[in-house]
Amino acid sequence: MNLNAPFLVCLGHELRLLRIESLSALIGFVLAAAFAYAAWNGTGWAQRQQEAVATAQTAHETRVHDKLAQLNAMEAGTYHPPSAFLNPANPLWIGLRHASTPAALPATALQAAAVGQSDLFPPYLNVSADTRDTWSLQEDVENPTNLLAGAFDPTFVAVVLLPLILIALSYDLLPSERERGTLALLLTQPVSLTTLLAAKVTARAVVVLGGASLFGALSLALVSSNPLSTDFLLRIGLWTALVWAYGLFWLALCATVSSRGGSSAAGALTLCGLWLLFQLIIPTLASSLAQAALPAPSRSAMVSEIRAAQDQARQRGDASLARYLREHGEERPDTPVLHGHDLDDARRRIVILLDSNTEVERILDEQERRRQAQLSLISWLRFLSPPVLMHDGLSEVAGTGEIRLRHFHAQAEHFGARWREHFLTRALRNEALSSADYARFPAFDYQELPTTRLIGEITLILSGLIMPAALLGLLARRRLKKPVAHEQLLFVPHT
Amino acid sequence: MLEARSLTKLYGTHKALDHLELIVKEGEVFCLLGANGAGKTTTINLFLDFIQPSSGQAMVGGKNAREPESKHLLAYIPETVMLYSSLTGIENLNYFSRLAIGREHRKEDLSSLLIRAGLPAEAATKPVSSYSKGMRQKVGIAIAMAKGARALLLDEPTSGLDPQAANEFATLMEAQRALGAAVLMTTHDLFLAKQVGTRVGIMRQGRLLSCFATAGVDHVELERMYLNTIGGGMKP
Amino acid sequence: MEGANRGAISDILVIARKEGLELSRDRRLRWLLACLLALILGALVQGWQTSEAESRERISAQHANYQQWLEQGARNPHSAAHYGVHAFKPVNPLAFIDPGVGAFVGISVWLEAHKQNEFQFRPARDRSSLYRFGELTPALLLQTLAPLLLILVGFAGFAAERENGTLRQLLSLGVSRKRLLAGKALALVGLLGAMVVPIAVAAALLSIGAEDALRRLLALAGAYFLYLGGFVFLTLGVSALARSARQALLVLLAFWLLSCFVLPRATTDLARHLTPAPSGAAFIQALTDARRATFGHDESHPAFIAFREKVLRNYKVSRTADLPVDFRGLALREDDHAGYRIHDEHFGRLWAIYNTQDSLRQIFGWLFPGSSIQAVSAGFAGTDTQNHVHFARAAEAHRRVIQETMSENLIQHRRHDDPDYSADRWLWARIPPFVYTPPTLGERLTWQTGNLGRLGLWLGGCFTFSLWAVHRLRP
Ligand SMILES: Nc1ncnc2c1ncn2[C@@H]1O[C@H](COP(=O)(O)OP(=O)(O)OP(=O)(O)O)[C@@H](O)[C@H]1O
Ligand SMILES: [Mg+2]
Repeated sequence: MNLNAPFLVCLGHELRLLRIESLSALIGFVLAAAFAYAAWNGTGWAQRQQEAVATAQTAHETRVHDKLAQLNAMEAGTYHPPSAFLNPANPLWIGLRHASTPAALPATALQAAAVGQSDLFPPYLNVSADTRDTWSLQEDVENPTNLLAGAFDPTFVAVVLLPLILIALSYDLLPSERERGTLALLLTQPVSLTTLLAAKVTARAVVVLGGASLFGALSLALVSSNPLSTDFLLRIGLWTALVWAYGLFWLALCATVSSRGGSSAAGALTLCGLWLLFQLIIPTLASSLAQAALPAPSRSAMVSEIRAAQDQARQRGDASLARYLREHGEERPDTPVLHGHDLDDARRRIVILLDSNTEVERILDEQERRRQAQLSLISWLRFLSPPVLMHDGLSEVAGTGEIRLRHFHAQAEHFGARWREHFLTRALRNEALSSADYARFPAFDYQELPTTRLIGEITLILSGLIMPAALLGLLARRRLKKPVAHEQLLFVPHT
Repeated sequence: MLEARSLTKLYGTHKALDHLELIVKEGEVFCLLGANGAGKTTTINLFLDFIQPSSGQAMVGGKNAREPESKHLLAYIPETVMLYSSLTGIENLNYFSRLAIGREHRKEDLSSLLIRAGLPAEAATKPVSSYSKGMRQKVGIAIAMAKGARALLLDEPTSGLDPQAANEFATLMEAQRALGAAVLMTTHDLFLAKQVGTRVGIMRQGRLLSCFATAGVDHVELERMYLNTIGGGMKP
Repeated sequence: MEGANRGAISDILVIARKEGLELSRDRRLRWLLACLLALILGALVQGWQTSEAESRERISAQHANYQQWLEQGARNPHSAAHYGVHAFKPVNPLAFIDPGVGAFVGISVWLEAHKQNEFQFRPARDRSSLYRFGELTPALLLQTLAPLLLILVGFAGFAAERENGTLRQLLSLGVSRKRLLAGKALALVGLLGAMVVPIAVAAALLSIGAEDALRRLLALAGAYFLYLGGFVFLTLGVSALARSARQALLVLLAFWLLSCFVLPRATTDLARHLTPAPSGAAFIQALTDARRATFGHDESHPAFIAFREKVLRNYKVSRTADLPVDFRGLALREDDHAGYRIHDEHFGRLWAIYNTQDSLRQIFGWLFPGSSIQAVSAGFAGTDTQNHVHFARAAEAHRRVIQETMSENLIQHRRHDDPDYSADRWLWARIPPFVYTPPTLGERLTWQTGNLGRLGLWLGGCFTFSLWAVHRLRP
């Protein structure tokens, strides 16, 4: 390789200038401090969530353990349950309350990288045999002002602060040479403007994006529970790719603005405006548009609908119970658990629950369909704003994005159906639970989102970042190749 | 080496340069004289491809100045040579000469170039921000020498220099000419034009009105001719 | 004396007019203003429509819910208490100006027997991650874009005059520095007015008819005056002090970024670390643990037995069946009262933590006013956490009315633990529809005194700073 190729000479020169003006050190310091604080916050949030899962898990285990102890005592004849509700052999209330179990979403190795949507969707659902609405819409308890402000997590640093650092270093790529007076001397050398600009952009990419990916990865590795796992390596790889693609987009934007000529102050203003446009105006506008075109489901109407469905099921209660008894006859299990009034009550409750659940699930699915309709419109609109793309990409890589959360919810809902089936069929048959049955309760086994899905989504987002960057690069190149380019860059037109 | 063929530059409808015909050969120093706004800088900028001609061509070494290869032959020294102020003289020279010739000079060569250009030896390793105007210009000359430029384009190189510095500059130009460089220089200093120029041209309103060799013309004569040409427009 | 005053005022007006002339010559600025104004007026109307629609939805849901309550048919009053009602949080008529935390608090709460529930259905859950980038509302414009506009227009105020050399001219004419400052500030305020007045008028027109909306709008205008006034003087002060216009711009932009983007987030996390709030699981666990001391429906619970003994003793009977009132009803009421204390304590503690977190965030509000204005603006618009808690308390009070009424009916009317006892519509209708009385302006003002004080300090500080800076101004 020729070390004296103009590109490399310019690159070395730019790096040296950045170093002499202490800019590299300053940027390194800012990035390191920001990422360290952000990773600390990110991991704090992730830990809090995992602690919540652990709390719920322990509570569940204690409840089941207590009930099992009672059951053993009951089988030994030393305990007499005061009511059907407290009876440890009664599958109805064991499935509905006492054994209700948290279906948890495990943390990824890169969880600290983004809070994402995980502050709105808790990491576990307390699944019970009840109708789905009672557990699938659970929300966490959190200070709403915190939710509104958002977290200072690594995603914030990458999405919001990184472009600002890039802009601060690159708003005057070529104008600065003119204002310094060196552009004339440079243009009398046999080096093309494109080479010059490319070297400048590369130098900034090396310093800022190199620094960001280094300090970002380092601080995330430090707070990760498992920085050597393939999961971490894969995710941090995708994370780094996103940071570079996003950084290149902003650098290409700076290069394009620089290639237009004009003063460095005008360049700074233009780039600030563009930052605001992509960061604030387009996202908020797109959000309003999507809401106007495909409104999010109305939850207040949903509450009334569900209530009406339950009222109707209750009114049909006697008929449903009669139909059940007609179809299944009076089953006589080997070990009956309830008798008389209690049994009637329980059976009526179950047929009403099952009846209303069919309708409740239809209502919930319809609500989710409406929600998805708006989301899929937005998943196209977001290509208008690289920050939104980047935010979504980083959340998905961290495992706190909409796709993974949806994937988890679908599994939890499926598990909920299994749980309901398991307990309510037994309860209908009036079959007592034995201590052996306690070991055979359905367990939630989360299947991680296939890696190919994750990679596919990130590839889509990467192309949404790189394509505009490439187009901007080409635009800058075309401008600089134009015969009037020298004149435009050397002489600012008077305003 | 430098040739203007019917070179014209329009700013809107204003003719900054009007069908200029000019040839500067190797070993020749051509001094362009003229009032402010006559079109001298425009001529230089056209040879440097800083601006585009509206018609006609500026040729450097037989090639159109629009072609990037012409840059290998050229060196440019403006009134104030602007450099990277946080770098030292040597570092600036190193950067530009590497870009110019695509290889690196040895450090000793660079310092000897600067010394030949007249820069005090101890200044070479100080940041350019501490340089005077004359010292910056010497770095500019050193860049031209390092490049081995065949054609030098100088825009009012001595304005703002003290008499001694101007004299040193004249000597350096003389040396470059003797080495066979073609020099095109604009100036308002008739003494200098007489001293270093082999030929002078006098411009007015974008046109080269007269052009003659300096040999055999003393500077009283030169001044008279200049004022006549310049004032020509005022006479009916 | 009067002559001197007139001289000062006319000087200031002359300066302001010249600044205004310069601004009006700037074609880009005109375009920018027009676009921003169009954008924000569009967003205003759209936001108003959505918030009206949402409001109607909630009112009709509240109404439907009450009908369902009335028509639940004959059943045991305690089952009715379990059935309960839902309380829907009304949309504040000023929410379209500043939606505050609206998207991040649930819209309704289920008022059922035995427990105080958390709110459900945060609207942000149904929206995409776009929501994290904010909502296009007047609040966003006034809190974030308006200071930026002031900075972009004003940063050159003194710096450029110095670079052009016109400052020497002015000072050599004997124009006082204070008048120069006042004139330039007046021009900036005028520009601000061109932007804010149309929005304020539109907002006032849209909120006509809502009870104290106009007075709250006035309070909002006052708060924004403090906030933006500070930016006017800060911009001019920095411009006078900076070595170059470029340096002034960089310093001001960095300040804006810190105040509007970085610090609100950074301090949120800091507050979370300093005063950690329990997670949902931990909160529920703590409530459950505390509830263990109460008996609920568990008749083998020692507390239940002790209570039965006490009642029997009080009535001087030996069996619950001999009581003149229904014992189950008494037990329910006793359990509920214990529950109220526990809920008050736990929710009170949770909300106190939120309050501490919010005030920690605002400690530096006098220096970086972004967090203060966010709090004041949402506070007056009725969309902050405090307003939410106020509603949550009202909803809980209504829940207790239901519990008390249902238990009282059991106590008085059920005999001998009659398992088939039921009440009907007559009893359900004894529960009035849930009506929420929002806090008065006076209450809201007291909640925001700290923040208003900080904003006042901010304006005063910026004003003093700018006076000092123009005093030091060297041409
Ligand atoms: N960018 C431009 N736009 C419009 N007119 C220009 C521009 N540059 C130069 N001119 C005009 O072209 C004419 C020639 O200018 P030029 O700079 O060549 O003069 P000059 O001879 O170098 O003068 P001086 O002695 O003052 O340096 C002048 O009338 C000038 O006004
Ligand atoms: Mg000139």
